[in-house]
Amino acid sequence: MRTRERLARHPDLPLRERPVAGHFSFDGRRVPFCEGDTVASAVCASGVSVFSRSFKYHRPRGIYDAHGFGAEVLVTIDGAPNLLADRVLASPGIDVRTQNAWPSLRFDVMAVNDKVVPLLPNAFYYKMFHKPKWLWPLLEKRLRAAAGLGRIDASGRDAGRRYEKRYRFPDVCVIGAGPSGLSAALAAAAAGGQVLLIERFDALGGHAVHDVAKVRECRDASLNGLPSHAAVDQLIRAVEANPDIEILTGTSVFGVYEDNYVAAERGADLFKIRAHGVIVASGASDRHLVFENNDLPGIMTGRAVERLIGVHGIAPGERAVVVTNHDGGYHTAKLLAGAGVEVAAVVDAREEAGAGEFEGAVAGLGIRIVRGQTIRAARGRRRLRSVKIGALDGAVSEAIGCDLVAIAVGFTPQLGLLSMGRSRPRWDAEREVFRVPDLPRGLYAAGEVNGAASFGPLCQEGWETGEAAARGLPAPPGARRPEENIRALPPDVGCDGSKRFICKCMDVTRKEIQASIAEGFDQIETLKRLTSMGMGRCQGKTCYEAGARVAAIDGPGEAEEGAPAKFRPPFAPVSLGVLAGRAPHLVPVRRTPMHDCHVRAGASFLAAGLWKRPETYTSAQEEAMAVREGLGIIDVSTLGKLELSGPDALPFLHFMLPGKFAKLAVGRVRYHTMIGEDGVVYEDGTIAHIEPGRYFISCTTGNADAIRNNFWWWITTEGYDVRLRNLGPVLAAVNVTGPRAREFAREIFDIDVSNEAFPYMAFRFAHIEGVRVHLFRIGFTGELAYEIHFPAEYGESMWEYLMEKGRAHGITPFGVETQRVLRLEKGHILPGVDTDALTSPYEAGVGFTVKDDKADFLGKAFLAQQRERGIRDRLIAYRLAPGDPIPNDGVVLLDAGRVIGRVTSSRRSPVLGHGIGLAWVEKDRAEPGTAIEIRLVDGRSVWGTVLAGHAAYDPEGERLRS
Amino acid sequence: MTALVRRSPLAAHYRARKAAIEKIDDWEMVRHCGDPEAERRALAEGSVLVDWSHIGKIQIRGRDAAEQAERLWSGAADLARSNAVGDDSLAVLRLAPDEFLVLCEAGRRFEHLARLEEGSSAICDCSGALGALLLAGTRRDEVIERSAAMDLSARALALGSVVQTTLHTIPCTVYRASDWDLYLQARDYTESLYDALMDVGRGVGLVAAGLACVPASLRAGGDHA
Repeated sequence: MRTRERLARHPDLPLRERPVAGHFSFDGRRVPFCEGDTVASAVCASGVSVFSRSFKYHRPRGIYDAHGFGAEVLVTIDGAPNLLADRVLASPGIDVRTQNAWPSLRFDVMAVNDKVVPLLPNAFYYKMFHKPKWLWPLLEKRLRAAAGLGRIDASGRDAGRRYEKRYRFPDVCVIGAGPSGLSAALAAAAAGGQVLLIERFDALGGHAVHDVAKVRECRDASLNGLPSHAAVDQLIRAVEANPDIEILTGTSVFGVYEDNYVAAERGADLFKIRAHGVIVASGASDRHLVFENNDLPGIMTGRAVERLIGVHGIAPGERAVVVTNHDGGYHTAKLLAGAGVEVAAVVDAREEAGAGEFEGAVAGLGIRIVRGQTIRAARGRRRLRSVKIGALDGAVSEAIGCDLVAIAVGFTPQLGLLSMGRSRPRWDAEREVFRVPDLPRGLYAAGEVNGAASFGPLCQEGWETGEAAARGLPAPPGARRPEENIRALPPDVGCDGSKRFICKCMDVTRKEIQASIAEGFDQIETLKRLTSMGMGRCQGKTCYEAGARVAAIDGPGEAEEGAPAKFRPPFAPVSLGVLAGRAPHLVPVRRTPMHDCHVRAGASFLAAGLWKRPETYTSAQEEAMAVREGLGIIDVSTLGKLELSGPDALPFLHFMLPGKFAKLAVGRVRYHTMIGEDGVVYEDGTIAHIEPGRYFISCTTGNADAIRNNFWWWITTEGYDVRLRNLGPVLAAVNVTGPRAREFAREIFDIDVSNEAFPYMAFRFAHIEGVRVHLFRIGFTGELAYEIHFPAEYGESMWEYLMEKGRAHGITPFGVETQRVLRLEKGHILPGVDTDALTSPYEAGVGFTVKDDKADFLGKAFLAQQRERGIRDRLIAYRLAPGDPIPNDGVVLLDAGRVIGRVTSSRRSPVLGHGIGLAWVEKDRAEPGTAIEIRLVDGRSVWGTVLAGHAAYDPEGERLRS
Repeated sequence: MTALVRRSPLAAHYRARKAAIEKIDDWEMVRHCGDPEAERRALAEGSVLVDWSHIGKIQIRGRDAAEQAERLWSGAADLARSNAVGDDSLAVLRLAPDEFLVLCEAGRRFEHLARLEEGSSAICDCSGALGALLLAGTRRDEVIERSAAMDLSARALALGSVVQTTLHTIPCTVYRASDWDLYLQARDYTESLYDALMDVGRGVGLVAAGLACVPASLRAGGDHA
């Protein structure tokens, strides 16, 4: 291991000085880094060539593409596993650990897999070790550990990390900041658009930052003649100076969804972006070449080599072979030579010399050029020692000693964001790349993602696409100069050997592909699922083209029919923390104005939709007895409250509700139900005539919002001249109830609350300490009760006042569970609990609320049908014997083993001392006094007796009328 | 004996933090949350979240809502949807063709209500029904950016504009006045929204502040920061 000196100068590239900016730890070793270094480049500069062990075979792996795609540089940084070392910027003091190797990266015991696994059947994990049954679970753990990635830090070190969701709404979102992306951003801004430019690296420019090719025929004439890196610098400056372009660097887009919804991750931030137009300028990476031992450390893509030289000032080897078939390989060779690397040969698959700018320059440097040949195999153990080259269709011609191979045989467009589960890429025979056809409206592709081209055409295409996106026009046709298209080499140029890797992330070889196809997995989707090809860290970015083309060759169809599977999100890795965000934002909580009073009183809460309501303060049984014997108070602020007035108020009520209200006198209250258009009862409540022509309707907590919206909908569509006020949030409400309620009421209200002056089911306006309240003589408990509605902002102080005033009367707060017990004693139904989506009001025992002799109203037609059909089931109340166990809600009723009904509500009545409940039962079993068998959840049965009415307690209603 | 006072939906929050309380028109509101100087500093350098649930809020909804709104502010009937007019003491927000929200000083709502007539519109004094928060400070937009799933940038929502949307899934009326005025469509969500905003705002210097920090102004213009 020898430290590589940073390059001080390069004849073609402007290299900056790189003083050491700090140190970090790499497997316990102190590694210096320079400004702008990634972890990978700093480690590479320190002389390390092996970064990791491969997923399955534990083969040594080193830097391959240096652009954050390959799994070869997965490391654990400060406890966070599976980070790409060529994406993470080096910073002082970080602790970088290699992963998936034991006891060390250099000597990994599991490397034995490289010898053992090939002896097992293809996809052995689906075929072996599944009998006896207990074996696989044990072995699976071992296999996963052996073929694992990093380990999640379960110590909670990262628990305090703040994940944010952020939103952007640009006119145009440009993904990728190479020459085409930069040009697209400038054009879209020039066309008047607000632009968001997203780049996954921390610097803009893409591959052009290390491209020394002279710019020609660029639409911006000032750039012509400049080397590409200088030209892209000018574009970057223009973009940075443009106030209409927002730049997000270091940001990975991981999904482009319907209607131009873009999701991106930067650190712990999730960006949710909705744009009118999205331009994918995600570029291309070097084409993956399949040959024997193509995964050895020292084998890199041409652009990886260029990036290490141009961006990080590192010569990545001492003796190099460049494998190519276009002028780009010569460009790589020239940069290598300028960096002081001995270029042993440029191996060009083309028979004839090309017309490229760099071919002649390389020849002029005296570098050997081998024509009509390509690489056939690589040799070495922990890193590359030599390569074998030969003709495309022939045997090996010679071996060349080297420690670096640069693969520059064309480019694979990064199609993931264009496909996204919508479209399957297709082979473009002219450009010899896969492309995604038929993009949806508003989604554009620009640059190398459409096929390789030089700087000028890329800028042109970017500019035209940017203009089109900003103006909402169709994508420009785009074109490639024929001479710039790069011929695709055969997907597998190796002639033999079992370690020809197609998918390096998942260690899938050509041999496995062939074996899998022979077993019948000859479609790319099934092949992918069996072998996991393309399902690793890079999600097929490197191997999708090679995989599809190899599968086509080995499969039953024509080679030209090969196409990769659809790409699906995520395009880039995204952490679960980023997707999840933080808990407080997920589910809002609704609190009544008196919520804190209940907290201070020690209430336990239950969730009623989004509401938090007191369930009990002590116990339901205790609180229920307090109400029956003294005075209780409950917060009922969550009730829906609507006020109707206006010329059509009464006709509207007659249309919306099944009852008649013309004779409802001012100051009187009536029970009502609400029926859907389907004749199903879905709600009940009270309606009060509070002033001439003004009605106050209360409804249950769960239905309040839906009923309000339903009223608005019918008012709007039917044209009733009605004023509807939603008093739900305006008024808080409590119910004070119990035999001592009147003496309490006398103290607090400024009106006569005697039974004669203010009888049951009456309404009055009254005042408490000068605050006007709506006062109803109604209740759900079966006792004398007053329901008080008052301005919500007085909620806390009103509760405190009432509790203070009520202390002398033994006032006891009670919760929702207590109320459920009390109402069940009275047999009051709870819509949605005791009814369901098929419940007829006649069967539920509330048919008296339906007056079907009036003109049309909601549900009338279906109610008529129900009457005609007759009653099948009835909701009945039942009682158990003292000491009987209390059934759970929902258990079934049986008759000789046959299900005849179900319990909807079941509790123990503290005042009666036995179990009570409501249940649906076939009508011929609903006669009072009938014995019903109730099956308990433990399999036992208990026998109940059907009651005459719904009320088990005070069936005559004397107490509430008292 | 407990006196009947009007309290903000965030009263429990302030009790827990021992905030300094002042009375405004029978409302117990927060003057400052303990360190008025830090609140002023946050206003200049970061952002502040102020509870002003006490301000008067009147809803007008119905067929002749525009005529009613015109009674309060000349020209209000001609307002386009999602626009507002007003001054320091009164703002008229047009939420929909048939719906207005009127904001006024706490003590003057009865005066304005008296000028309205029940025709074919429902007029509702919602002063205590709607939570109201004020988000101010130089970095206030960064809090909004982390909270709204729709474009509330100055380009999309000009000064004096109003939109009904959700912040952290909670229904709100968002009014870009001199600062961000956030009116919850029901007061019962206020604590949840407050918690969510304070949470996302931590990274951009958001602090809880009292009314002393921000002069209550309904005018669509100027900048408290």
